[in-house]
Amino acid sequence: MPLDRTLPGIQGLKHIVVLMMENRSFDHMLGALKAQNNAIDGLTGTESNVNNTGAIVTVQPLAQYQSQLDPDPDHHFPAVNLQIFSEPDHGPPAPVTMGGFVSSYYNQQQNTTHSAEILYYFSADPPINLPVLHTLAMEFAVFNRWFASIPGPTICNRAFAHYGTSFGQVSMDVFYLGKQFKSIYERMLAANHTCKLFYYDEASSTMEVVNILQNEPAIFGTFQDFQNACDANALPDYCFIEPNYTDHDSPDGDGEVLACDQHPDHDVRAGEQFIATVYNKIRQNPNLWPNTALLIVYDEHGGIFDHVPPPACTPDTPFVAQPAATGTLDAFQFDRLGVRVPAILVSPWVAKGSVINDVFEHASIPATVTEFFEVPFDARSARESAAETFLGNLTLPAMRGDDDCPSFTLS
Amino acid sequence: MEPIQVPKPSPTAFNKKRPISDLIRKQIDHFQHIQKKHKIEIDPAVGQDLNTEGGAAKYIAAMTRTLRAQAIGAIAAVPPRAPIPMPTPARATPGDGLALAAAASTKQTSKKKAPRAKSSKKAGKP
Repeated sequence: MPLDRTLPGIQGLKHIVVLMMENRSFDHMLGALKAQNNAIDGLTGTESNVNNTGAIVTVQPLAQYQSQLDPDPDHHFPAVNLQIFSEPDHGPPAPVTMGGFVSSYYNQQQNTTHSAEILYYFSADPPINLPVLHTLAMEFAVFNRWFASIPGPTICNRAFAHYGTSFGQVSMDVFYLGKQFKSIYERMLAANHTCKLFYYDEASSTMEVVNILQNEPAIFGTFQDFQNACDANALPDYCFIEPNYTDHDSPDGDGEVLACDQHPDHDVRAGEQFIATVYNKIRQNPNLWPNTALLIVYDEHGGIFDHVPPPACTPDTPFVAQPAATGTLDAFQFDRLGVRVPAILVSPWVAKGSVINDVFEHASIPATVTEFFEVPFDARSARESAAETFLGNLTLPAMRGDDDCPSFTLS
Repeated sequence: MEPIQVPKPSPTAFNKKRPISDLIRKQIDHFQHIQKKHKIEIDPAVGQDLNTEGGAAKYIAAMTRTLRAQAIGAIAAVPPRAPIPMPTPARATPGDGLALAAAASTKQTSKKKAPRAKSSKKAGKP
């Protein structure tokens, strides 16, 4: 559906900010919210998998901030096949079960008890909960059907957010973008719009090393630059933020920097603080809050349980990943999506408690940015061409007041 | 609406000796691909420990700093793992998309620190 530019929230919109976190499934992070808002397609508490002994194990609100998902759950293509189809070598027409998550995690350690923890999700109640993510989901708009673009790992999934395609990749190997599809940054700059890709710091850097950092280092900034841009009312039209991927010494030797990407097994609270910092920077600036849309989304599920079957999608023609690339007995035509991930749209023009039921994937990001900024760029991937755009959810006739929108205080 | 308190990470959360994930290993692979392709020389000492998060971060920082400083702009003519080509691909020129229009700070060799908490451990706080 074309964007309705008569909406007040769209007429005043100047900035789109996307924050992409790491490796958590929808149910793991937001599944508990179904109890508070039944429209959210979270967990009833009865969802289950069968473990290696044949016993039924159910989801439980026992997720911990750290030390539970070690080793990192497998989320490469064959493992995700196992998680979705209970069968590592084949995808469709095998029936979707969402029943192989425990088996997949068991395969890594042969530990029956530990394998059940892949079904754990965060409670909605203290002491171990997610006050930032849960508040934003309840106060703004949560996507019930935002899926990873590929049933596979990080880098190929993130590629869809930057290019609208992974150029045939289903892994994290080095690849070069096909010249037929330009990145959203190239498109924006060519159309005289401003854009910036903010990595956390030089020691964390970006996952877009080969295609963007190598060729366009000037479009990068640090997270400090993002904050400075907010303070100076100089935020680029489009911003993409990457979290800190590692625990490391500060590049200037002053202090320690904690990973805030929420990738297992990093402390989830650091990510909560990071999300709150991004939100507060926009929320607390009256020159930004009315005219900025913030999307918080996760790149893929990280091997963690979700109960919603990923749907079929438009094939990313002409790309096909052969069996040698997928590591299965099947070729993959990019015609089905990965596992569902958390995604939240934040804006004072979004109605409180909104739940969006249309299907989205990461190609929706360049599709939305290209559409909103009216970038004259028709050569888009098949997947991006078919992707839903999300700004039509800024539907309120009047902006929500300050007292109606949350703010966060960091401990 | 009262501000919502966000708990801080555990004091024991920081572990720069944590073995790197597959993701970071692949990020390093990508940097090493670029390093080899462009014959980039960095201090060998920063590449000695690529198996821990702290050690990998030193290498990644050195490479990132160098790439941004050198502003390497050449686009490879032949992809190492070429996807199936489009019938009529548009031709990209090396200069495409190199113009900088962003308004934020762009100091290429900035020593600006990552946002920090008042304590020595930082987790995305300003």
